[in-house]
Amino acid sequence: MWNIRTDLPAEQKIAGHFIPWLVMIIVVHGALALSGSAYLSAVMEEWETNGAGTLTVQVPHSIGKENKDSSFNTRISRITAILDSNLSVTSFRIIENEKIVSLLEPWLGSADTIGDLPLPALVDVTLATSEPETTRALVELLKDANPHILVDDHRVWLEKLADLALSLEILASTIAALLILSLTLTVILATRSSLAECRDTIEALHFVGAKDDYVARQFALRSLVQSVKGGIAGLAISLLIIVFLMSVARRIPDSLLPDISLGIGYWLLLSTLPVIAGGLAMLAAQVTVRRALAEMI
Amino acid sequence: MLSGVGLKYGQGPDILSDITISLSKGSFHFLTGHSGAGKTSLLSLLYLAKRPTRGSVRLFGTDASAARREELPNIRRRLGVIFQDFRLLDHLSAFDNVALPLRVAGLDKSEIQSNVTEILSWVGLSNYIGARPPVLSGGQKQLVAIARAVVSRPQIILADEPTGSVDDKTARRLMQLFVELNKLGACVLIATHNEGLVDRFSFPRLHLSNGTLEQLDLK
Repeated sequence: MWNIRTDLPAEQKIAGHFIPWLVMIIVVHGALALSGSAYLSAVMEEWETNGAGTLTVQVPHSIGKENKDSSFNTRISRITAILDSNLSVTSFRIIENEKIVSLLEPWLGSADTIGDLPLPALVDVTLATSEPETTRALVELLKDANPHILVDDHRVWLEKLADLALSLEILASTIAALLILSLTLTVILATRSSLAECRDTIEALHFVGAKDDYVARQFALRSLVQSVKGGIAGLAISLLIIVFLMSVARRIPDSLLPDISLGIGYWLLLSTLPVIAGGLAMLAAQVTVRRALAEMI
Repeated sequence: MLSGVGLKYGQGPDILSDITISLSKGSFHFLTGHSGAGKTSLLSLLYLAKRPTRGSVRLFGTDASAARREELPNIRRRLGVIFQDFRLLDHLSAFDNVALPLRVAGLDKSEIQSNVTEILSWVGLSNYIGARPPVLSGGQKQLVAIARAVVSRPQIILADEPTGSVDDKTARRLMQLFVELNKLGACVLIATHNEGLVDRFSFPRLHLSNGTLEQLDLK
């Protein structure tokens, strides 16, 4: 499969024999950048789905000197009454005290200690729409009823996360562009060196009537095979790293890192990386050889 | 074929000046002259390795000296060139070296197999089909080079000192092959400084001296 017939000297004897190793390294980096970018996109989508159009209303337990449970319950009721009657609210849910304690436990210590704290009531609200105006109107209504409440609009931190995700995706794209550039430059340099080393062969081919296309095709095919070889090795290494990272990620609680399954598109793109690398190398070699040959008689 | 051709390298003196020759179909010529007279330069103009500084080189009805790069391969395929230093590819077997002109012309495997086997047998190298040039003697290399030059049945055969690095017996065998090729209709031009070799045959001689050409009488 890998032994293409060629008139060129054996690849071990000319420059370019290192191409498979370089392509392997480039594909590993490319695969990791792609995986990071795909994971980030999926996480953002998950957060968008679950977070957009939702609010968390925090009703403080004590306000100033007031510290009566009955008053606390009244304040909660006032808030839930508004939510109940508001048409923009699809649903709401008062989060159980045990759940709040379990959420705080990793940060504040044992549940017994947290239970003694004057914890606020948390109400998860789902809105019919994520329009900022709707959210703003509801927040004003709630604030009118109780100016001490805190409203956590998920859209605000989602936007901040989206900015971060966008920056990381731009970074991943820049890395991908740099990897493509380095692969192209590597192939161009290796091909130029090979051309110099194969000058006698090229001359002999020309004297027997070979067209530039015939000569260029031989270099291009060799670059293709070398790059696909390196690409497949790189892909295998990347898959090992990805599987390892996925197993590590599974041990992290869902609240910190959602358990995301990446789509078929990602896996398809990942599996075509060796082919993309091969195609790119073939094209770079073809263009380099043709340009060099154009300067010969 | 060559009309008012001049050649010089860079700003240097003329290597060739006002060369005009016409080689007819089926002709056989020797190109003589002392070392450095410009025989190889003249041949290189004919096999299109160089373009003349002035004048024109017409081959097969085309002004090859003004032809575009893309047109050159088709002209070269009708030429058979034998180099003094063989220019065989050491990494290829005798078979693959001889097969090169047929491969670049796009012939299929079976045609290549039969043509190459036949031509290697004709030059007497049937037993060396798989041998690479480094293990062949000078004479055997020259025979492979001749086989490569003629395997595609070229109309013009250009040989640069083909007997220069072989013993007398092999030289005679090589010359016999050229005569046979000429009888088959090929136009043959052999550059040599070996006067003894030229004297053995009655073919016309083109003599290069100080970059100019004179045609000597037939013996």
